[in-house]
Amino acid sequence: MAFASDRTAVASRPRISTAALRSAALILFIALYTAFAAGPFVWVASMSLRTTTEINADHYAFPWPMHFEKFAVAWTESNYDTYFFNSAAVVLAAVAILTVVGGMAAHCFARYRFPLKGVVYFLIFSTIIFPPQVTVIGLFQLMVDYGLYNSRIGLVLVYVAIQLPITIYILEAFFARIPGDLFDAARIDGYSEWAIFWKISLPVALPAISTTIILNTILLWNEFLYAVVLITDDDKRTLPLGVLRFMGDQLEDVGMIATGLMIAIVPVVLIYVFFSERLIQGMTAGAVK
Amino acid sequence: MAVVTLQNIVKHYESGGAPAVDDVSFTVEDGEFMVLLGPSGCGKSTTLRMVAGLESITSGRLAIDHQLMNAVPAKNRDIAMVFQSYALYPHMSVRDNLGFGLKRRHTNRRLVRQRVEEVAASIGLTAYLDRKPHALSGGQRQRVALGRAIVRDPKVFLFDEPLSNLDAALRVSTRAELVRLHRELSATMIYVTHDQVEAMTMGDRVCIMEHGRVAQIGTPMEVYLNPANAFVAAFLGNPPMNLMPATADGGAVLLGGRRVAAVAAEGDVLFGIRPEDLTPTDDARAAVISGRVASLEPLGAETLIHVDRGDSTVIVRGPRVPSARLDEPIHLRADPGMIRLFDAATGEAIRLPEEAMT
Amino acid sequence: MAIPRDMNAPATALTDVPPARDHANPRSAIAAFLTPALLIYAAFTALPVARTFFNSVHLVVPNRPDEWVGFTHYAELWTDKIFWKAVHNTLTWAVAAPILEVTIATLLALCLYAKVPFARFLRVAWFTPVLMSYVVVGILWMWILNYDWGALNEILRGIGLGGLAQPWLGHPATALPSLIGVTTWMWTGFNMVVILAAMSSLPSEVLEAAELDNCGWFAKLWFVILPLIRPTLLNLVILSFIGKMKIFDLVWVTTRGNPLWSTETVSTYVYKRAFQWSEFDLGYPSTIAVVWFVIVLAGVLLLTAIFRQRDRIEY
Repeated sequence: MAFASDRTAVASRPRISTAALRSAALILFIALYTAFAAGPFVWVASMSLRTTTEINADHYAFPWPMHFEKFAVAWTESNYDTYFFNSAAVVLAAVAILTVVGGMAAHCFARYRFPLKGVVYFLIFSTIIFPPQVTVIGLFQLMVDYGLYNSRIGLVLVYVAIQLPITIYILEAFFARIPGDLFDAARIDGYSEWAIFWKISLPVALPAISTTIILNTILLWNEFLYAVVLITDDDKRTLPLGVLRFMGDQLEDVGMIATGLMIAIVPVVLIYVFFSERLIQGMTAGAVK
Repeated sequence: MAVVTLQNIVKHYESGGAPAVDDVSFTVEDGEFMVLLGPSGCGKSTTLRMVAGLESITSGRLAIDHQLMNAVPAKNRDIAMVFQSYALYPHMSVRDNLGFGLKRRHTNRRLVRQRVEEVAASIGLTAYLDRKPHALSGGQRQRVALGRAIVRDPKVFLFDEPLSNLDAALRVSTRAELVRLHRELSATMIYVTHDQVEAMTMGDRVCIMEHGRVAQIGTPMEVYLNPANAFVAAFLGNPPMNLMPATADGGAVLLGGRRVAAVAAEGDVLFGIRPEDLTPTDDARAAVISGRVASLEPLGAETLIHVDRGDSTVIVRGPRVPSARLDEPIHLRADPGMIRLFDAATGEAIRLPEEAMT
Repeated sequence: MAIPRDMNAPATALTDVPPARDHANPRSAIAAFLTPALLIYAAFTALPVARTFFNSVHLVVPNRPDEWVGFTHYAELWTDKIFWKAVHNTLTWAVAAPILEVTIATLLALCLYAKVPFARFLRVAWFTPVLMSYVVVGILWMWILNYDWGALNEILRGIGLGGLAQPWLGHPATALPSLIGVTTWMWTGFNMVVILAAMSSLPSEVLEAAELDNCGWFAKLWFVILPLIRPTLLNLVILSFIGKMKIFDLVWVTTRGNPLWSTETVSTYVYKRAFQWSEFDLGYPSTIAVVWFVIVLAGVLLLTAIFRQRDRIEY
C-alpha cells in the first residue's frame, strides 16, 4: 500500500499519478472508517444535549442550545445515582481484591516451584475459554445456597472469580521477568516472603498492576450477564442493568436515554483520555503473543 | 567475625539426577578471603547460594561459627551477598537500597540514616544517595551493591561474580578496592568467580571446583605450582599447563622416546609443564621436547610460541623478540623442578622425588 | 531444635541434621499466596461448573429434591429445533465475525503501519468502540438501525439507495447480519491495535532484506509480513471465536433472539430456558450449557490443531 508510495513518488516520475491516486484512496478509506468508528459516539453525545422534541424534529442537528441540565434530570429522576454508586462500589471492591489475590497467586506461580504447579495453573487459566453459560446456572444455585444471591458482596466475589485468570496471566508474565536475584537480595536483607511480595514484587510490577487494574475496571464496569442473573433488587442494580431499565421506562424518550447512555460512558471515556496507552495495553494483553 | 564450615555438602535438584554439588567440604577461617573458582556449571554458585540460605542443602552440614545453619532461613544467617546482576531494588533510591536491610533489623531511623551515610561516604556514593539505580553507571551500581553489603556489617560476605558485568578497566580498579575492603573490614568473605585472575589476585585461598566436586584447595601459588590433578593444571594459567601423554616404566617417564623424569610409577601418565618453564635450546640432546614452530603470537611483553610436535601442540612463553622462526625445527628444555606428572586414567598428580632428572 | 555446638565433633551420623527445608520454595508461603485464589476459584468457578454438569442429568425444580433423569435431557436436546437454530446462529456469528474483524483490522493496521499522518490519534480513536458495554452499544445501534430515522437508512436514502432501507433488526433475513456488523464495528479497532503492535515489533532487518530482494509492497505483505504475524492473527481469530461463542448481552439488549429465532444464540436460549420461561427446571438449560461447553472446547482445539499443524510443516 503506502509504504512504497513515498519512494516511488521520488524514484519514478511517470508513476506519480498512480501513487497520488493510491494515497488519495488510502486517505478516503481512513476517513470513512474513522467516521464509522467514531460517528455513533458523536451522534449519541450530541443527542444527550438535546431534548427529545428537538431530536424528533431533526435527529442529526448540531446540539444548540446545549441542555446540560438533562444530566441532572437523568441523574435525579431515575435511580441513576444508586446504579452509579452500586457499580462504583462493586467494581472498586472487586478490582481491589483482584489485584491483591491475583497478585499473590501470580507471584506464587512466577517465584516458586511446587508440586502440581502446572496442573493448577492450567486449571485456573483454562477457564478463560469457558463459555459463561456453563458456570452461570450452577453459580445461580450456589449463590442461593451461600446466601449471596441478590447481594452486592456476592457479585463482587463472582467478579473476582471471572477476572482472576486473566489477571493472574498478565501479572505472572510480568513477575516472571523480574530477575530472581532481586528476591534473593531481599531475603538476605532479612525480609519474609510476605514482605518481599509487598515491598518488591508489587512496586516493581507497578506498570503491569496498573494495566490489570484498568482492564478489570473497564470490563467489570460493562459487565451485564452475571449482574442480570444474580441481582434482582432495583436498589442493588449496577449501571448496565440500570441503563437497560431506564430505557424500558423512558421508551420513546430518545433524548433522555441518550443522556443516560452518556452517564454510563463518561467514566470510561475519562479513564481512556488519561490512560489510553495503558488501557490499550491492558485490553490487548491477552491477545498479544 | 566468623568461621564457615561445609561438611559433605550435597545438592540434588531432582532426586535421581546428577548432583549439582557433590560432597563438598571446606572451612573458611575467620577473616579469610576464600575464592570458589571453576568453569560455569561446576557448582560454585550453588555452593555459595547454599551458604546464603537461598538453596536448601540436600545433605551434609553447614555451620557458621560452629552453629548448624542447614535449617536457618537466609534472613537469620547474618550474611550479606553481592550479586552478579547487583540486584538493586529498581524502585528505591540509593539511600533506600542501602538502608533496606538495616530497616528490617533496627527500628531507629536516625541510626539507619547515619550508618547509610557513613558507608556511602566511604565508597564515594554520597552524591548519588537520592538517585534511582537506573540513573547510575555500571560501576556506581556495583558500588551500591557493595555498599548494601557493607552497611549491614554481617558475619560473612558472599560475592557471586560481582565484577563480571564491569568493563575491563573498572574490573581492575574494583579488584584492588575489594582487596583493600577485605583488609579494612577483616571480614570473612567467600567469593565466586570463573576468572582465574580474580582468584589469583584476591584470594587468601582458592577452592577449585569441577562437576560439583572440589578439585583442589590451597593458596593461589600452591594451586598454580602444584595442581592436584590434570583438571586444575589445565584450568589455571593463561595459556594453561602443557599436558602431553607419556609412559612410565617403573623408573622413569618416557616422552617421545626420551627419559624426561624419574618416577616410581608405571603405565600411562600425563607429562605437564607450564609454558614459562620451557626454554628453546640449541642442544637437541638436552631437549625434552622437539618440534616445529607452528605459529608465533606476539603479545607485546612476550611472545607465545606454538610448537607442533606431531600428535600435540605445546605452547612456550618466549621473550618479546624470540629467536624461533616460523616453520623451523625447535628444541625445548624443561625446568626440571617444574615438571608435573599426572595419572593418565584418574588425572591425579603423581608425586615426584625431589631430584628430578632430564 | 538442638544446635550442635561443635561442628568438628565426630560426624558419624547425620541424623542430627534436621530434614532439608526448601529455602527457595517455602511451603507455608506458597500455601498462603495461593489459597485465596484457589478458594475463590473453587467456590465461584469450579463448583458452579460441577453443579451445572450435575444438573444436566437431573430434573432440578425448586423445593423438590433433584431427580435423576439420566440422559433424557440430552435426548430432548437432540430434537430441540430452537437449540439447533441457536447453534446455527452462534456458529455463523463465531465464524463470520473473526474473519471480518481480522481482515478489516489487518487492512487498517497496514494503513497506520504505512505512517499516515495522525496515526497515533487514529489508533486511539478506532479502539474506542470496544470500551463500551454491550448494553450501550446495543441501544446505540438500535437507533442507527432504526427504520424511520436511523443513520444507516438515512445514508442509504441520501445516496439514492432508499429502496434498500429497511427495519434491519426487525427482518429475519437481516437481523443476524446486522448484529454481526455491530460486533465487527466494536472489535475491529481492538484487533487492529494488536496487529499493529505485532507489525511494529517485526525486525526491520527482515523488511530491509525483503526490499533488497526487490519485493514490491504486495509481495512484501504477502510473503513477509503476513507470515511473520500469523501467530498473532491466529490468536486473534481464536479470541474472537471464543468471544462470539459466549455472546449474550448484545442480543439481549437489542432483539432478545427475535424475530423468529433468527438472532437466538445459545447464551440467550440458555438464559431464557433457565430464568425466563417459568419452567422451573434448571436441568435442561444446564444440559444445553454442557453440550455447548463441549462444542466450544472442540472448536478451540480444532482451530489450534489446524494452525499448529501448519506451523510444523513450515519449520
